[in-house]
Amino acid sequence: MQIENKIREFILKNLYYTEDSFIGDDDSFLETGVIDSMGVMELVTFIHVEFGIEVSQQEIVVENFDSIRKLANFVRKKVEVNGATTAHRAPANLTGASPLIS
Amino acid sequence: MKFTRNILSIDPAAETQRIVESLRHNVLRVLRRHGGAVGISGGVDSAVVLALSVRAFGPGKVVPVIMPDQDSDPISQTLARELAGQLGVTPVLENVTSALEGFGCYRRRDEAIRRVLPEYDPGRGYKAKIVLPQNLLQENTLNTFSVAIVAPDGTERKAPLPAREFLQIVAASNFKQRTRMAILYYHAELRNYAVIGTANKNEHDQGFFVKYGDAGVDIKAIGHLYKTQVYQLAEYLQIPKAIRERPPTSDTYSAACTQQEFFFRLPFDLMDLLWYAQEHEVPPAEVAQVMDLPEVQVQRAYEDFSRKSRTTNYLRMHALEIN
Repeated sequence: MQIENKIREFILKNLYYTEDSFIGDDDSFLETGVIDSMGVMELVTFIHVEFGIEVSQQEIVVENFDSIRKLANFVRKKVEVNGATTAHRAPANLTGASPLIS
Repeated sequence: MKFTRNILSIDPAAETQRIVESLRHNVLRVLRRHGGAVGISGGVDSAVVLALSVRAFGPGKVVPVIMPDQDSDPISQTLARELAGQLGVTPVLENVTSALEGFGCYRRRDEAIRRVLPEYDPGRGYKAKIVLPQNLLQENTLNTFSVAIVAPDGTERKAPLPAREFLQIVAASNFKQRTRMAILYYHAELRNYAVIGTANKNEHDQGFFVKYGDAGVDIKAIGHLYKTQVYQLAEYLQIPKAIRERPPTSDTYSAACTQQEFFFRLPFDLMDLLWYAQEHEVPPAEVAQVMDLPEVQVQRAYEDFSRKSRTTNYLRMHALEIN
């Protein structure tokens, strides 16, 4: 659950635009509108910095990026294959820019 | 109405008449301006809008403005001049390169590109563009951008864009549309004219425009028309064939970049029909049968349209008020 919690924490802190502070492991980001394509780009950067994972454009698909569980499973699979570690730490705001566009 | 492949066919003569009357009424009576300023790029949308404006106000009350910058394809200006000549109007040329240099447009954009692909060097002839994946119907890929650079020898290299670099490239590039908007308003205000917008329905509804840039206009002449309907008007209005047959470009990046590559991800003839179907809630199974596509591909297109529209809602919002 550690990976799920890290992803959830990042989303709630950086990408979540509603006042509700809960997001379930299986809630669809795209169907619920929790995250848009800009948010997906933020998530790609986040998992690169946090877990050392390189993501190709072919992997940025709904099957890997549409919920906390799907993304966590994708991270686990990539870590297994590539041996990436969780030694990296993400800065608070990965965009380095002022408020995110939606 | 039953969904067919011809559902977007229009009567171009009647539609031209309707738009011309509406332009005349809105600009002269509602906005109380004497004519129209139209930015022309050598593309089909601005060509159609210029032709409609000339019909509405007469050639003496329309000012076409050509606004290239250092990244513009020279053919754009040639085609824009040919069009103006055919319509009997004299274009104003405003090269916006120095204004964009003043804003730091190129420097800020290139700095972000180099952080991703360090060999990018426009001084040595490198060109760049940003693109979306093109396999929309085949895979459930999401709309995340890549940057592609073209070396002087023609070899292309592409890399996914991190969020920070993407935002910087877009923010810097948007100076172009906002600068053109400012120039266009100068020429409109100088003559007490209105700025006539050239965006079509695809661009407006799916968010392929710059807020307070190319969307900064007084009236949208073709904002209600799908791109394929704009082509129907273009043929009726006898827009030069070279303009009608040219692939629509973003005219923003130094490397050649079609609108399909940059944003829409589908050819217009296919996209317009699928999009119409989604807007009119035609069941994917019915669309799949008419279009001879697997239902899952229709569904993917529907989802992409919805995501683009939702993501770009902010662009279509006016400034919010604190009540």
